[in-house]
Amino acid sequence: MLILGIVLILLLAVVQIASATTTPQVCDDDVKYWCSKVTYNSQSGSWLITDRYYKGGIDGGADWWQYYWIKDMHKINGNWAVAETWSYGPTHTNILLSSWYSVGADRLRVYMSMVQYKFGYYECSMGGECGYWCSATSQHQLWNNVSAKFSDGICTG
Amino acid sequence: MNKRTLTILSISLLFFVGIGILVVGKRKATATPLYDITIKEWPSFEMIYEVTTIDKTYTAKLTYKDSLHWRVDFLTDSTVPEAVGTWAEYDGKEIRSLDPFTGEITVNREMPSDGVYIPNEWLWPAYIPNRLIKSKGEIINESNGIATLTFTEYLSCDQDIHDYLQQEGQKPCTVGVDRVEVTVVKYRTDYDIPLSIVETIDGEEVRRITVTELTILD
Repeated sequence: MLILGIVLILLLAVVQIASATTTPQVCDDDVKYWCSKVTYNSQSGSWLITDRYYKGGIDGGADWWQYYWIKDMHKINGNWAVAETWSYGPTHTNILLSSWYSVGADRLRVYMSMVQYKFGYYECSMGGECGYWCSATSQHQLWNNVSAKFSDGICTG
Repeated sequence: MNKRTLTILSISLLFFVGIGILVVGKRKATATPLYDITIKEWPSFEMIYEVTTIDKTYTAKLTYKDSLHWRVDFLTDSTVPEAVGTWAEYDGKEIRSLDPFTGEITVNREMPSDGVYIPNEWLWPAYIPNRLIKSKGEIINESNGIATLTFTEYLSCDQDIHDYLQQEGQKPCTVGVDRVEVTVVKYRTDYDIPLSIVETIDGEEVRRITVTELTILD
């Protein structure tokens, strides 16, 4: 009986590992400034988000960058709502699109869920004026594993 | 302290002051820009621009009153229909915007640092001066109030970027070999307002921004 239990637990673990999925990566048009992707497990009609990944770099443009916000969104009763938001990540000045960073914690979400990202960029002029702009919103839909981007440039909420 | 010591000290002091003046002077001389980098105040204007990338096209309208008052409306989007009708406006203190999915108006009051929100990387008066100086851009043509500026950047290529380009149906880069991005910007010389931006990487066009309408209101 004990052995059977252990085997069942192992089988369940294998199923969990096997169902881990990563969304298609989304990057800016030049693959210069940012990329994002999400890792999740499907769990009987809902999704366990395990990693909200991002990375980025600068070259000739911004002085530094950060994630502006990352949102978990879900559709409840036909309406989209924000489930959770992480805002104003740490600032980075690295030039290479090097390591992936992970944000947030594991969260179990309903079937129609997606994760959206927006990155912020800060640049000063030689005259001392400084401007802050944002990336497109990148969007990772978990129910069909499709990724997209829209609303380039504006720091929308 | 005798007279001889005083003389030596005075000469030494003069020598070091002289060296200091020379060094500071040389630094100032090497920092002299090749181009006029004066940041020109933008007038009020309305602009419609189209952005075409490898996989999508969208159009937007910018209504610019001054650096503290502007609004952007997204007019078309070939891949995310929900984005059409999205807008954002800035009043110098906060950005209000329409969330295309929730239908709610969100307000961002907090600026992450000193400065102002700008509508896009290329939509602020410092863009042209910064690209001339910080990106070591060159003006390759100037006539009839329109100038053409070009600058080159070297973008990295690792396995992730290689795989991403392949996933997107683009020509994958060679891991470990920098990609060469050339940007060509046409702009009005009276206000330094960009009119078109074309970016190519290793000779292939990746993004084209075209201002299709520009009406100066001032």
